Amino acid sequence: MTAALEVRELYMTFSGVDALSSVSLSVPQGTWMGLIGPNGSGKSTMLNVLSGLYKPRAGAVVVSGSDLGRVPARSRIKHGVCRTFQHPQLAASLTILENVMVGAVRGRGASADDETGLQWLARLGCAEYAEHLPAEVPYGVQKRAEVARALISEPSLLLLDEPAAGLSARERAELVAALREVREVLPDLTLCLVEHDVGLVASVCTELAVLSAGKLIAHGPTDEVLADDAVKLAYLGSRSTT
Amino acid sequence: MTTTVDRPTADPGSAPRRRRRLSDRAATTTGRGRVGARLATLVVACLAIFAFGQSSTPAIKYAVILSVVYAIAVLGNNAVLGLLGEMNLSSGVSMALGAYAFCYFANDGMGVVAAAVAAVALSTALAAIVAIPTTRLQGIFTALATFALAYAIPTLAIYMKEYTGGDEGTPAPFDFEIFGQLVSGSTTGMLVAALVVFAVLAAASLLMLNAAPGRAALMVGESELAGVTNGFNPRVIKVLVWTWAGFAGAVAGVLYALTVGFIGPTGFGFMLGVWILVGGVVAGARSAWGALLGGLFVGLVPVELQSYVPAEGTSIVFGVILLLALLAGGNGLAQWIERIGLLIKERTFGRKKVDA
Repeated sequence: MTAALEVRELYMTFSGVDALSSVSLSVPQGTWMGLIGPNGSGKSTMLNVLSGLYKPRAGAVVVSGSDLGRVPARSRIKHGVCRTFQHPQLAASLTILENVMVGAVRGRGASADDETGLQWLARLGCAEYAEHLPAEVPYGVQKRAEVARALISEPSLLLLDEPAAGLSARERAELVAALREVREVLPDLTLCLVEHDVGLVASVCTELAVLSAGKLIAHGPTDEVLADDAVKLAYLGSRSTT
Repeated sequence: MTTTVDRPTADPGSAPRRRRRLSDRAATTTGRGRVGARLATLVVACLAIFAFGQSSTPAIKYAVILSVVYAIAVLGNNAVLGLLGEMNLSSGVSMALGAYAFCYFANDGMGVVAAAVAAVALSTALAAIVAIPTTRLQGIFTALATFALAYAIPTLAIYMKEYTGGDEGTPAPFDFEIFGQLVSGSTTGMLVAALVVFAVLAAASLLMLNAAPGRAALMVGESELAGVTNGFNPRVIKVLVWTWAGFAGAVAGVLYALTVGFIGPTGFGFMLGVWILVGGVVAGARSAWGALLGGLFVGLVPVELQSYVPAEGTSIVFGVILLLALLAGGNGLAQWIERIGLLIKERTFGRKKVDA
């Protein structure tokens, strides 16, 4: 079976500093993988490389068998790669629904209509904000609207960059519920979730990859990775089980 | 690798059926939506300007016609400012290109309509070519590039004497008639022609703002990262917006030549681009009918001010008005007028609830 995402010997350098160094991993279709690591470990860089915003110094990114090395960021949505951002990137002058529908224009769900957009917003628990401007809705709704925009493009690989950052406990719970709903509706969707909240990641992801100083130090089933001593040392700062 | 999942938290079938409708307040804030009402406002504004021009002295009528011509350039520049959030000081360049090309073709024996079409086509093509490198820049560097272009045009016009007449300038055709109406100078035919052209372009820009092209431009202008990752090519969209601005500027240039009857390098100085930009800021960069206010600001305010303040002081008053407009915030005078209209509507009929 072709892996949904395959990263081979990825290197990314900023001003001589390796942000990613020899990162290789393979993610089967339908897997929800959490990408964790301390600040500066290269998580967001990894997402930027996968989405094409950064061009790696070396290595390959293969999605569903297609090498995306020469595919620019704007064309990756047609290859089924879509993403969200740590800080919601919504057009301030478009309503929440209009922002969602932007994902359908160039994505693989080009035939999606407003009803589809509203259904995604409903699944993510924010349909009542469809007609509002981003500035008029809570931060958590903006984040979920970004997820809806990504989903309406019918991605095969969804990249979420810290979707829980800045959310209240209630909003985090709503986000987890919404993500579980998505997994139920789209069992073939492959997810790469960058998040600091390990509890949230563990609650929705079946696999974990851990980056530290640009290197992949662990990758495997969530329980096993969280029990790994090297991970505890590098990420949690302790060998003891908490 | 199985995971227990909760039941869905929301039933998609229960999603309320809605269109992409903006609330009154959102429409006022963004300058979008309420297309029918805004088209009606546009028609009313054009009729009001026509009535004002017809009831004024020839001198004021002439200034009103020029104001409408400037409004067309403001409309084009507003696309760059209001959609992309970029500063363009080269609207005067587009006007100069349109005006000079029109006069050259017309004086070379081409019919007036054919000369106008050829001039606008040539100027628009040049605008597209210039837009390609310009859109590689961002922020203040874009403004500086357009500043350099605007600064160079009068000198370039003098240098290209063979085509432009140099310092002496070049005459524009005077005997152009439509439906028996002379379209030049301060004639009623000229006023109607300028208003009709403005209304058509303003309606087109209003419809585009509320359709897919406008949403794509807003996406790129307000969040380029999201635009890129959602499949849009920001460079192409920016070049198209700048080309539209160049097109509107060229159309304004042709009408300017017909109105003034003569063009020279002093008519397209650097300050013209500044005034057009300021007109958009003061009146509202997102408002189609507001561009008419911007044109009036550019065409009438400096002229009228000279009646009350010394010539040296007009620039200062002009600057103070701009400063006040910026301090007032929002999206210019048009938005303030719409806000007041909304306030009156809410006080009279009550506030409409938009939440589900």
